[in-house]
Amino acid sequence: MTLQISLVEPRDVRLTRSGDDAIVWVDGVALAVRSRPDGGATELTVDGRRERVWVVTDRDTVFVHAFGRAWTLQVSNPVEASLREGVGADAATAPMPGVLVALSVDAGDVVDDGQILAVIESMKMQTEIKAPRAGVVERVPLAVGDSFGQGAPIVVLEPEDPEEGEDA
Amino acid sequence: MRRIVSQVDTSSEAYRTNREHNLGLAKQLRDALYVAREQRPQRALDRLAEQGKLTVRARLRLLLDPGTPFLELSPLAASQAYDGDAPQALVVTGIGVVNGREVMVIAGDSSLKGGSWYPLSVRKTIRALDIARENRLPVVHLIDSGGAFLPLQDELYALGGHTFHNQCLLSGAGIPQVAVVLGHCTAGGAYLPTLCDQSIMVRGTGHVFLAGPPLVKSATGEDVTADELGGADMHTSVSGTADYAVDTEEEGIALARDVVGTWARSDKARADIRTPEEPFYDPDELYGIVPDDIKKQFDMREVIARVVDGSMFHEFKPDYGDTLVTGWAYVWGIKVGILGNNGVLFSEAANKASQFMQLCDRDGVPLVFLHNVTGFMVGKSYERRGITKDGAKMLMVQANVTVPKISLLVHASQGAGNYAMAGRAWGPRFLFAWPNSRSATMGAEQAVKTLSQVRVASLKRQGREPSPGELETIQDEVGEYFERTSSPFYLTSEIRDDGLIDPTDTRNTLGMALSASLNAPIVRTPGGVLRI
Repeated sequence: MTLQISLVEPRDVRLTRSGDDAIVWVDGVALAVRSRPDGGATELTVDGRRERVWVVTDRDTVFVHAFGRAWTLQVSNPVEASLREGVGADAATAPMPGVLVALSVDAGDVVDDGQILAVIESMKMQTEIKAPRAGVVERVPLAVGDSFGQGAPIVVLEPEDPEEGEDA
Repeated sequence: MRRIVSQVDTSSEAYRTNREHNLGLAKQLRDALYVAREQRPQRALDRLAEQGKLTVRARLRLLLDPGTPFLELSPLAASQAYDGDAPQALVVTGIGVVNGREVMVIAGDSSLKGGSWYPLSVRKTIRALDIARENRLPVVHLIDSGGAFLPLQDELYALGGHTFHNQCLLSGAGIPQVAVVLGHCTAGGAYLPTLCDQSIMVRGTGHVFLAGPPLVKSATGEDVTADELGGADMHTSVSGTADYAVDTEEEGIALARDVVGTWARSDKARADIRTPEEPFYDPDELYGIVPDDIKKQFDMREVIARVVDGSMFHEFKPDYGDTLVTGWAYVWGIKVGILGNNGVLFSEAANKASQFMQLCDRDGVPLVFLHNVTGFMVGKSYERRGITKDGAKMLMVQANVTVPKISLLVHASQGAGNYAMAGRAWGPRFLFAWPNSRSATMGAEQAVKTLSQVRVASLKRQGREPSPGELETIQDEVGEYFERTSSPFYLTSEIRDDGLIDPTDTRNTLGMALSASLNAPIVRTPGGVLRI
């Protein structure tokens, strides 16, 4: 499996197991690597050099503390990336028929990916309606108390600029 | 597998409100457990001491291997029944480790009412024996009961027979049992130790007979002492009804541990097991995740992330039927297939469940059901698309898988959704509930609407129009009844589950239940997996 890791410049990184250790190929150059848990940290041995590193992962962003400083890496796993394609629609839609019980945004509001936009009630349950992606609210077709069918748009976002989407 | 990425904001208002609410319920649970297990009038404890008897908790400490966990089952049984006269239904049941073996323990508590068997005591005992049979767990009985509680004999006489029937079936299946007789075993109770493969009697306090001295006197006029009639020495040296006589409870329990050590070790089912790992996310955060209102939804992945090893999860078919989360994870190193509700069940979700359960059944992977379900989707377009048919498929597959099933009521568990998610009637090996959960045919609000309409219609047929006051009374009655009977504290008192658990105990509870379930072989059924 190949991963693209962006630090200063993107690098192709490949990992092969070798017994309890591993060989990491960075842009075609092989390095013998051993990693052992060491308290909350990891003891990493790269070509004989030993270093304690701390790693925190948040989705595709990896924060690494090592060699006396912190690094932020962007990791792109082609398998994960393809699994996540298809999200990012222009509207948050109703998963089932119901009634709108709360609305927390209005046209023009800037929203984050996954932000709670509204709450609907249906089938004895209150379900949160979340933003399918980050963006700007174009319109809110319903008012609190309105009922709707399955698939009805609850909050519509302004269309995404495709160029900007690539960079984001 | 990939680590679940939690979206929980621990600084939010909702998180703090939920946490306060759920910590309150956890305290209510702890308090109820203290009352059931420990709170006894001093005179009851004094009487035990006079008889030379230990408390049931002291006996358990002597029996179980030190430092090993004990999975107590239905500790709050009968806590809301019989005016509180029979805490823990006067019998302790649970799975523990004795001499290195996982066993079912059934221990009578004679501190109150002489340890009489109430109907719920019998149900609890039968449930423990059913669990032993299904999971091939050997049984250790610590017997100390005054026998059937006669004022309620009609409720327990026929039922009670299952206890002895179960014992015979256990023996027939090659699952060993040992009894330590620590009190009177009279009438039917006499069969309890006698149907065990081995039994130990304590001199002086342990007696086994079909009728005690007073009944013998009135039946035949014979004058006889309890020891002559059914004492430890008579039964171990003359009748052969028991096998070992000892002087003290301590010796009896130590001997029972030895007996367990002579039994064959069970071959655990071959399962996918690896080194356990703590969840990446803190299980303590569960208190803030589960909402303070049964109607409010949350992402079941947040619960999974705080229960499974390393918070690692391989989600199956993530973009299809997304009101049900399905996927594989490890719990205490044991691979499981998890089905968790993220909303109402649609056809797509039901079909995904059927396909996923077949995959797990093929590979011998136990199933864990995390309930938060209000039912299957209703309405014309859903019926036309076959929601009832797809639900039936889910029930059919779920009922017939041969892998162990374990259910946990995390939040709501209502309507046919409870059945589809392996509710009590669907034979999960174990079923536990969180103290915030609710389970009933429908929610209280819907019940109030439906039942008050029915009552109003009936009054109108009699030519009466109910006044607003009357209507309110009807609604209050219905609401109170539904609230009370869908409460987990009521349900656990009636043994509709195997126990209420604190959310933070979920991982350990599931781990022990899974480990116990692997004592029975997993028989795989051949057949293709249907992409339903």
